[in-house]
Amino acid sequence: MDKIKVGVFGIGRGTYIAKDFALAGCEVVAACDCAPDLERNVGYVKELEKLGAKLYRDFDEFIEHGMDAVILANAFHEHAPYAIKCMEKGIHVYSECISNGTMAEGVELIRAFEKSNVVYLLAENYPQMKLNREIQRVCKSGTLGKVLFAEGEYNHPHDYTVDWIQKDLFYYEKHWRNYIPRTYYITHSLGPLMCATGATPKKVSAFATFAPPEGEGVITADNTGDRAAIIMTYNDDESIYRVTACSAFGGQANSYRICGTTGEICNIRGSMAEKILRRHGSWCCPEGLASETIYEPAWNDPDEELIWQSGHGGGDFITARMFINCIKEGKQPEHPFDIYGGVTMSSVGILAWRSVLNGGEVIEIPDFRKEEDRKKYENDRLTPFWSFDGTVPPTLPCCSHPDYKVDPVHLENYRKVMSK
Amino acid sequence: MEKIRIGIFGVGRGTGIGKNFQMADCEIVAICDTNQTHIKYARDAFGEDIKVYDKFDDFINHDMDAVVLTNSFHEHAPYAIKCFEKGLHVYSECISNGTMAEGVELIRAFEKSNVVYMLAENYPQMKHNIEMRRLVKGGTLGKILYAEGEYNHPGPDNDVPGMREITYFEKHWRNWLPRTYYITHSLGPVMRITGATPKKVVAFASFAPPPDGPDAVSATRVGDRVGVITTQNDDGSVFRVTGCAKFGGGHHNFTRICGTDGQVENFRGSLGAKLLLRYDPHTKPEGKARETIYEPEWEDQDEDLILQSGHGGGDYISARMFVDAIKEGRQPEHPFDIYSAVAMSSVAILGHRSVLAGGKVFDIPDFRKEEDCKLYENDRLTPFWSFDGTVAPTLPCCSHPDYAPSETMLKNYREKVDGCK
Repeated sequence: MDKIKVGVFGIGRGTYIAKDFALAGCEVVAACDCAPDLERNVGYVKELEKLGAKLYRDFDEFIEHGMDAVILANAFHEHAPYAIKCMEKGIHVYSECISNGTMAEGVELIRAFEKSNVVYLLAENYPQMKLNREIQRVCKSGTLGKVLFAEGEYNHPHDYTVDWIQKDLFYYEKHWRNYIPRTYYITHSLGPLMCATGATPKKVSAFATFAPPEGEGVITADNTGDRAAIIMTYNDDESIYRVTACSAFGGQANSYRICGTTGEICNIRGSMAEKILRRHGSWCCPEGLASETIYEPAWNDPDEELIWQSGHGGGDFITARMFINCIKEGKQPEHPFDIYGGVTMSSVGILAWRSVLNGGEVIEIPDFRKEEDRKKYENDRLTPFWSFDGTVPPTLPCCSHPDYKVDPVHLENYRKVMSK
Repeated sequence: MEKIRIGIFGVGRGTGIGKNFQMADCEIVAICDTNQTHIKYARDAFGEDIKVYDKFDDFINHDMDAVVLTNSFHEHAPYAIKCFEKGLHVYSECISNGTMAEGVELIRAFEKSNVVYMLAENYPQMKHNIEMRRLVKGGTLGKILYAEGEYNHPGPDNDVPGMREITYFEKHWRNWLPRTYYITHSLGPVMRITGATPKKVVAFASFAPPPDGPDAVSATRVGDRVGVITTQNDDGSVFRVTGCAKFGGGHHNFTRICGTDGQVENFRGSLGAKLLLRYDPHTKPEGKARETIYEPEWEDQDEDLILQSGHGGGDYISARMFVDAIKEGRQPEHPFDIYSAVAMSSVAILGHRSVLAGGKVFDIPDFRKEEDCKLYENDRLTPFWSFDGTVAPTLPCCSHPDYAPSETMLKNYREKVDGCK
């Protein structure tokens, strides 16, 4: 088979992903970025040129370049419209998270997908971390019994007094990160659980905890005064998940835990994060296994050397490989990386936010395979974000305290840093 | 001061508690129970001469200062009220009230009395929980955002010896106990550590009944294995707790506290006595490591007595707390006081309503406010049989309301367990 030709849209994050596709034997033929200027991304432009990509500044021109697949790594909340354009052109889609920024986009995405003949994969990479692959393996072995409860946490606090973080990640006032509610960045927590257990959320309820940064040295334009949302879902297999989206508790960690009727497994937070703690009651312990083990799993993967070169604990390469295999084999990815899993995850993030704004109200997660569910949301375009070009304002608060605005002193500090 | 004189109502659990009061220099003067096995435990502990009553109304006329209520889990409130009316201090096992109406009645009766009331929730007094409270009060974790509490107490299915010990008749409250009700071992520690009180509750339950088969033995009407409960609290923080859960990983008690600057938790499993305390590079206190794993010390003058006590030392410390409150003429601290106790019961009871209503959110009432009392003063819905077995439940105890053990399971239970005590 000829090498798969790949284009990348959004060259900040996209360049890293493109390199993984090159590692996996693809040809990176085109790249596109619509940012007003590319000065901050000059390094990425050079790397893409080295890979052989032609640079575009207009998406509609970009997708006319002869390609088999497109990596969508543009703004977090704006993947869906571009995915639809790709689908209409018969181009396979590898979409960064989240799949859709509004519920209406989720409906449109599914409808467009069902008319197309392309592969769609949600590029959620945390399930492919070594610890999560091990948790999946143990869960799928059945030794944990029926899954009752699972937890996923992507805890990523940062120092609000450091200027380079603002320049790197929050680099203009209307940037989506300055408006992202604490339930939206959910796939790093939810994806690994859905992958391990196979379940799909059907209901969601969430509470947020409000604690804006304090102190005169704080540099921020962030309108999200919350630090975390605690999200509970009730799932199609009657299990329960407790997840965060990107939370900001003190003590950074990714942590996951699965509890079943005959055992439980989790990774240990902190410096032992690569270690797994697996426990079984003495009466239900699998033969040959101790009732408690603490161990670091191995990769057990033929591409281990390539994985080591990849980002996000190896997850980036494995996710790229998954997509390539789907294209070669003419099939959709497995749950929850397929479009239905992707849109479900987005729905949990979006509707959990509605739950927060309504005092924890429980909300049903739609199944967009069903037309009656699509009808309910086909016009629901509520969004907490500005459009990427900064012309269309939010229509939803991004904070559990809707009147909260970033402290003027903090905003002034931010503006000074950005002007340098 | 003369020794505080204590009577115990329900000497199954109560005998163990009574021994802790003896360690705290109290005198056990009377007991009340009808179960001969339990009465024997008590006589072995307190002497053959201990005064034994079989009727509560006679028992509370015995000359004493305080009563320990360790009767059925869901029936403490009516007896607490009788004690208030007699001017007797009350040390009540969990939960404080089995129905919302009882919670209203309990508070109203308490406010007319002049006694000390304490909820005997002992898990906050475990060493790891005391240490977490010290850390929170020290301020290095920052503003508390989120806390977790978990009481996981699984066991094998068809455990006939276990059933003969603790669920020994078909209408026993444990056979009808919804998975959110036994909440205080999870909720008590996080309330104690953070000082917060829940204001809203949402809960879901996960259904996985014991497997059926020709040798299966069960009378439980609760097919759920866990109730997972989240609360939003008066300080803006969020709790995630369980009732008594039945995950298959083995017994554990787990607490975790997350603040803006750091977090602390104990380990599950064999490392459970150790704490994991973590900060970020920009928030770690000066001179401290970013991460520490350690086993805390008791640092308590009564360590010798604590080590002899049950529930990781919690039983003695809880008894001592009650004794000190009586001597000093004050109520216990949050969350052992009556208002917090009733709030914990409300979380449990309304958590189950949330389960039955598919995760509907419920406000937790404050029974200091008459308008909140009015909302619940006639709410007597209960998933339990009365202890005497004459009054039936008025609420399903399972997320699947039609769940019941099979005829085979019940037949085996009736043959091997029912009425053995």
